[in-house]
Amino acid sequence: MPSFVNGFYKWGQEFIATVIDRRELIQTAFIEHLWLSFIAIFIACLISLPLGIWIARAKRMAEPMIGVTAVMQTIPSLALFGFLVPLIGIGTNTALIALTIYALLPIVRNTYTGISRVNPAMIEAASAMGMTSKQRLLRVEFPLALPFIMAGIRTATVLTVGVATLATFVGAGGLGDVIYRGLQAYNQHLILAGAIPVAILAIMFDFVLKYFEKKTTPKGIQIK
Amino acid sequence: MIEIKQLSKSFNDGTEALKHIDVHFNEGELTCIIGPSGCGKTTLLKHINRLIAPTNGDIEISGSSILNQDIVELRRSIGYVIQQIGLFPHMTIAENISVVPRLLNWSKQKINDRVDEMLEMVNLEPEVFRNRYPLELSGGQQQRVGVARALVGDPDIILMDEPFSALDPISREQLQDQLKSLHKQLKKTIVFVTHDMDEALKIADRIVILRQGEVEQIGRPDEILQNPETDFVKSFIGEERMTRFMRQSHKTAKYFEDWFVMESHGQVKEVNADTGMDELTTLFVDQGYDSVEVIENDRSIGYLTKNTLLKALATERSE
Repeated sequence: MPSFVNGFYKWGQEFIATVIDRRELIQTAFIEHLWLSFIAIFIACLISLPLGIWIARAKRMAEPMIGVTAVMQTIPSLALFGFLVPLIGIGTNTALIALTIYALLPIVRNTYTGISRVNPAMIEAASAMGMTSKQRLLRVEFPLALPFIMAGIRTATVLTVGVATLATFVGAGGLGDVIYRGLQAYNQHLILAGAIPVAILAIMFDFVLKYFEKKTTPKGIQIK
Repeated sequence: MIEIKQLSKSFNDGTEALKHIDVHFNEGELTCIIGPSGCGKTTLLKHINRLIAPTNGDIEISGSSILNQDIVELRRSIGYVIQQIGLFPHMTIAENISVVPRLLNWSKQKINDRVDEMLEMVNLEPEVFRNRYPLELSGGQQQRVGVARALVGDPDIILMDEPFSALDPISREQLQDQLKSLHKQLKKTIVFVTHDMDEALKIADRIVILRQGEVEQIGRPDEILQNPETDFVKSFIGEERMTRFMRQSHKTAKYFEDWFVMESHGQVKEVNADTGMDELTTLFVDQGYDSVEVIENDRSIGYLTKNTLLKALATERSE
């Protein structure tokens, strides 16, 4: 057997041994990570959806609001976590706030774009039929913008799952814990034992949301 | 009856879309508003369901001003068909038609019955089309659904904004015929915006011609054809339409015998009774003759003037 296959085989054995050895740590971290990401996305949706809808209506607010969320996005993630610590202290809340801030931009922007791109003829037809502004939003604009909005949420989710690895620096746990320990111990296996679940989690979230997107996209729009 | 009184509209950029318009739309009549693009015809139409607010003037329906009526109530009582069809792609055909009934909280049974009734009225089989989506339908079928949607709440007034202009000629003809028979049957007050003079002459009871935000002429199709009051109207309906209209016909001069007159004014040209429309068109339009003297077997059998010929063609078409 060539030596590199041999080496790889040995490496794999060691990796699996590490995973089994640290499975409790990885398991806890995985669940923490999942919750952190999920709650951050959830809060981000609660803020971004109404915000996106609002700026789609009040167009002159759109540029400033998107500008603000974009600026927040450009703050390096590590710096944002560090910046929040003196203000709020360490812990899960700090991590959640940082992650939520990161998730805002894609959702706000896609909600705004989705609602703004609804064909003006649809809006006119809806108004002319005597829909109130609220009815128009719920029955026409929102359903038609939904594919866009879901795409924004998916982008935000993948982003959040990645950035959530930094939660470890504010003591909020997550798979960053595993990676950080691996880094400190120069333990490649442990680093990967933290990193691979992050990727798996991102793919999982994306998969679930994709399914959800398919379910919620009105059938009539899928026909093209 | 819809009465437009001294209606003016200036947009924010300073363009005056409508200038002191005074016009009324009779109850139960199909009135076409026609004019070149930018003449304000759509703007005028959209004032009636208050999609656009007037700068000055008033609009009255059955004697009371619509400007202080509840806007939602008003719109639900007026049917509206738009150019780009405007069906909601995320709703089935039945859902599209039943938008207004659902807003009005009709019972499910009543809605279903009414949807089927409407689909039958516009010649679409309910079983086939009820649960389809707009994108699965052809343009003509979609616009039929658009018409059904406008009729569903049984409104007295229906506004149509160039509803057939995006359709292919065959569907357009069909829908025009259908609209005409629907109108005969239902006797709704219909205001129909178009830029197509043929369409207007075919379906309208009355025609309102607009130009640069002002009314140029109002009248029945044959009145407008015979007595275009201004040069603009003449050029708008006259030459171009006349040419197209005449060339479509394969008749000869003899065919219009009933319309012959015994004397003529202006420039006259002698032609044979078997002269085709092509040649007559050339004489009237390109060479500017006002009438022709029709000769059969070396004998004059009468004069055919440009105006009577037009009238003859128009009458024939509307029959």
